[in-house]
Amino acid sequence: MTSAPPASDSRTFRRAFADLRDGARQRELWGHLAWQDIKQRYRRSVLGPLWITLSMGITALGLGLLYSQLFDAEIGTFLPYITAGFIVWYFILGCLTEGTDTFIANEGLIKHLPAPLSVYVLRTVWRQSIMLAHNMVIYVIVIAIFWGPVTTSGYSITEGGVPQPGLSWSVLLAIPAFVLVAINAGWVVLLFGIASTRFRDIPQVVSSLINLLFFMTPIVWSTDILKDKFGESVGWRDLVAELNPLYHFIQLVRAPLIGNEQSWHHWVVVGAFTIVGWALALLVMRNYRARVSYWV
Amino acid sequence: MISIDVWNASVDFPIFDAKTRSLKKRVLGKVGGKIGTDSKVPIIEALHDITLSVKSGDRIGLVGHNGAGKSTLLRLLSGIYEPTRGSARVNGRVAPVFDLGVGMDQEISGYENIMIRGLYLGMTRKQMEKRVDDIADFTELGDYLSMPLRTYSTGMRVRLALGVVTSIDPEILLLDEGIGAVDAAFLNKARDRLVDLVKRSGLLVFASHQDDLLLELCTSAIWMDEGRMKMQGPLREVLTAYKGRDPFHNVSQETLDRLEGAPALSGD
Repeated sequence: MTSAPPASDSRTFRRAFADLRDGARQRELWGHLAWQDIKQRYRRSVLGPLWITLSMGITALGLGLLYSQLFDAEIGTFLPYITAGFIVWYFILGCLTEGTDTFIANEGLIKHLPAPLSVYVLRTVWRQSIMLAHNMVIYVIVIAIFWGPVTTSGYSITEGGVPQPGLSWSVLLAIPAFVLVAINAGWVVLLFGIASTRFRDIPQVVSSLINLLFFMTPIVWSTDILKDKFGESVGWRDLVAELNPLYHFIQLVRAPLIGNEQSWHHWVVVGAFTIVGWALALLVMRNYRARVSYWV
Repeated sequence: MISIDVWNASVDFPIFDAKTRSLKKRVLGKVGGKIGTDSKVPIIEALHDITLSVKSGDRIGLVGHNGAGKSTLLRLLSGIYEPTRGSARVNGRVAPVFDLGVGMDQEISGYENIMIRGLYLGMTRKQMEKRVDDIADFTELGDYLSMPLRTYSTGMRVRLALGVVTSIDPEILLLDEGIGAVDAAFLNKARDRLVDLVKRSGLLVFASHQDDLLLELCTSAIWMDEGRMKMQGPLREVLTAYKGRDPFHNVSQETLDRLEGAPALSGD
């Protein structure tokens, strides 16, 4: 042995970044594990992963029919709105609820095979992305059916709502928008995953709040309805949507998908969340990365 | 350079019971001040003050009673546990074969298991696909490889795990005692492959209670006791001290013949 022992580098940013870098490099590993998860979940069922698509279709159709009646909306514009919203919501929901479980569920692997923590984060995010891809089939079908109403310039989601430019090539903006949301999913899973491993109440907190969040977020209702109902006196009620970060995440991807006017401020809000979230996640990663294998 | 260096490392496990593991204590505990020891998480000190330097070419046997810290030490050497005090540095590709009952999804097939283990050990899918036939041959599991893992016996799991690690030329091989679960015939086959592998690759640390396996695979040994390294030195000396008698008394003639020229003897 040589001179004095070096200081432990367990709690350094260098190791935190190395973990992320090495994890990203093991693309085949997390890609394989994520596919494995999907196949495993629908093992021995006749339709297999088609169930993902099917259940999304049923949900969107059912809720679309019901709420379009409740809100006096045209089914041709409201169903695409609900479908697109739901698809993005399911992705966020999956990342939040399964994110809290990321390391807990992988306890066996973490304790038996050395691998960067980020492998499990990427596994979760990639699995949710695969589910989203399955759900996009429903989006394509719905858009094909309601091609007319959705591409009409000046259509509105509900009667008297804000006129929208209609579906056009700007739909491609949904791709960078989704990439940004997925980047955010990365820090959410990492942060919530590590915190939940230490404090086992967090998954419970998340799952008990998630339903409330769903109804607070304009997914089955729209901001148009708020404005329509309260007119100029919308005031603080508008904040229900604006102060809800999930609204910005959903609207970022949903607006281009159904040809809605995209406000730049959603990009700003989501961009700010990306920076702050990753900064926080990296800090937690630096301090507690090496503790996860002790906590699981 | 393949090496593992550990300096004054300790591994302390926090034991959270249902109460302390929750936020309740943290949040509600603020009211009324701290209640003595309740605010502290009890700790199990699994390893104390380990200083160890393993270089390529080293073949170390780990001996000690159950609960002496052998498995924890192996996990420390693999990088799964980073020391809570002190420091550790692992250079090289690590291939661990630990408890075989857990770790893998019980519903996946043997083939999937081979693939996932291979990917974990840094292989690509293509490289693993090339090796699958070889591993299937070696493990003699045949059609069982398409069965879910939950149908496997412990010995069959060991076969699978050994098949994978011996097929990929790892630099650092860490074996836990579980590998003794295979039958004699397979053990002979695996031994040849392990000896061969150890010659080629860097470094082996092997926890075992079986003298003959230790004698064949290792040159030196560490005696673990209550989380400390009680003794480190040539295998024969350590085994003699640990068991209170020369390990060669108990070895069968057949093994002795095979051991001619084996590392443990030539060292003496």
